Amino acid sequence: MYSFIKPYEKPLIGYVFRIWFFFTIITLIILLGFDMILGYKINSFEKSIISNNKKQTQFLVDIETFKKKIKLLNKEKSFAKNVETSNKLLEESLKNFFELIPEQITLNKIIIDKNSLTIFGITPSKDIYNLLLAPPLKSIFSKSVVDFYLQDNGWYRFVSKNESKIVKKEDNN
Amino acid sequence: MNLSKKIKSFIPHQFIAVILSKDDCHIKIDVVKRDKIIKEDETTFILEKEDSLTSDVQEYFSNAVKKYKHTYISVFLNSLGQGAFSGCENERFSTFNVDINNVKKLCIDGDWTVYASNIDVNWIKKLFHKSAVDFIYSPFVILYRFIEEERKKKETTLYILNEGKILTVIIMKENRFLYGSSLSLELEKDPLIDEIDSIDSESSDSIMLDDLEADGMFDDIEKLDEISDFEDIDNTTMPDKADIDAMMKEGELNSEKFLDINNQSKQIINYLKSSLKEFYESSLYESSFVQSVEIFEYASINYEVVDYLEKELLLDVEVKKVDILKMINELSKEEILH
Repeated sequence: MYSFIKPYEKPLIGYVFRIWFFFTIITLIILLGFDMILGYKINSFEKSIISNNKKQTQFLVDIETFKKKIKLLNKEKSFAKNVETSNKLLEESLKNFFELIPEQITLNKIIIDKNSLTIFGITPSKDIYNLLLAPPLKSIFSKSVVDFYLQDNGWYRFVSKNESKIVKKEDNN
Repeated sequence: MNLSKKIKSFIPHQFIAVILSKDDCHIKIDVVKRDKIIKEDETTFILEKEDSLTSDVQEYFSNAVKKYKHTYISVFLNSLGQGAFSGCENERFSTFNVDINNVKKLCIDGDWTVYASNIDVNWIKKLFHKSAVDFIYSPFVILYRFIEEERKKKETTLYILNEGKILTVIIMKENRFLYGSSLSLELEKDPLIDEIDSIDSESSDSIMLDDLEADGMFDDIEKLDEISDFEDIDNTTMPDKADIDAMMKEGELNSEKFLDINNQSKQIINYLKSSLKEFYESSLYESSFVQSVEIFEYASINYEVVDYLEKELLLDVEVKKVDILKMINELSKEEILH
């Protein structure tokens, strides 16, 4: 410094420029704030996308499992339906069968198999059996064999073995 | 260079250097951008009243300041209330009988001190109050910068800067400052002048003839004679009384100027003699023998002074023309832009 006095301060930037600069800075800060918020949002969305993708894969796996379960259940359902149908059929056939039994004949025991029916009972006479019970049985089953056993009171104990046609065929096979 | 100075270099800066003399005001304007002078202007205003700026000077300054926001006005301090001495310690002020409380001081290169009275510095500030002054430079500093620009002499050298209003003297040995003083070239009036003035009032005619001869006025009259040789003498009109009066007045002024120069030479010689005597005899200064003189001229120095130094004091004298205004702007540029 070679001068006896110091120079007056001459600011590099004028008053108008200062105001302009101030507002520019404020605008920049706002923009940067928005940018940061948007960045944060984008980041969180990306994260949620990743987690949702994971969930989706998980759901797809679950869907596959459920599909398998449904298949199994469907199978079970059809099986149950079969059982139900066969039960209904059995019930129907039993009902029909019991309706077939004439009043004179008394049943002691019946063995119902899948394709066969064995009846144990007492009949007053062979004719009654042959007239009243044998024809419907013969019409239902392909094979119907009866054995009579005379009892002391003159009535007959009988064992009727009936097999269905299909079974027979199957048996043949 | 720091950032703000780097930015500054891209903004145009206007540097105005001012030297206020008794009768005129020298101004140099440099407009600098990116270390290059893009505009230059130099002008001189005649001052009507001593120590005051005329309205046209003030208008010139205010116009210049309006043009560029970054304008720095630097003034050369050519008043008498200033000085320089070796050493920068505060105790040195009392050694040289300077009241430290009433001066502005600067330590130059940690080796020597320049000072100026608060009154002078404040007076300059007040003078330029409308267009504030940024720098006030001491002639010692300016002279020192001229010395620095030169190839430094190894022997003890007397350096002189003649600004016209103030004559500044520095004695240096290599890089060491030994002695500094200044002389106002306006205050002292030689008794010889008064003597001549009194003769002038008594018998103005005889002096007038001498003056005419001295200032080459006879040459002009001879020219008039030559013209009359070629033209018909009847057609020529003889100068009337008013013309003669005007010529006589001009001759009178020139004679005064001539006597002033003579008187100033004597004043400078006497001053240099007393300065050297003071330097050699006073115990305040380190004793060393001055072997050469280097004169930096802003206002030219009469050959009589050079003659005296060479022939009477047997010193090697070197004279160099310098531009103080340019140097002032250089210093201001250094302060602001470097």
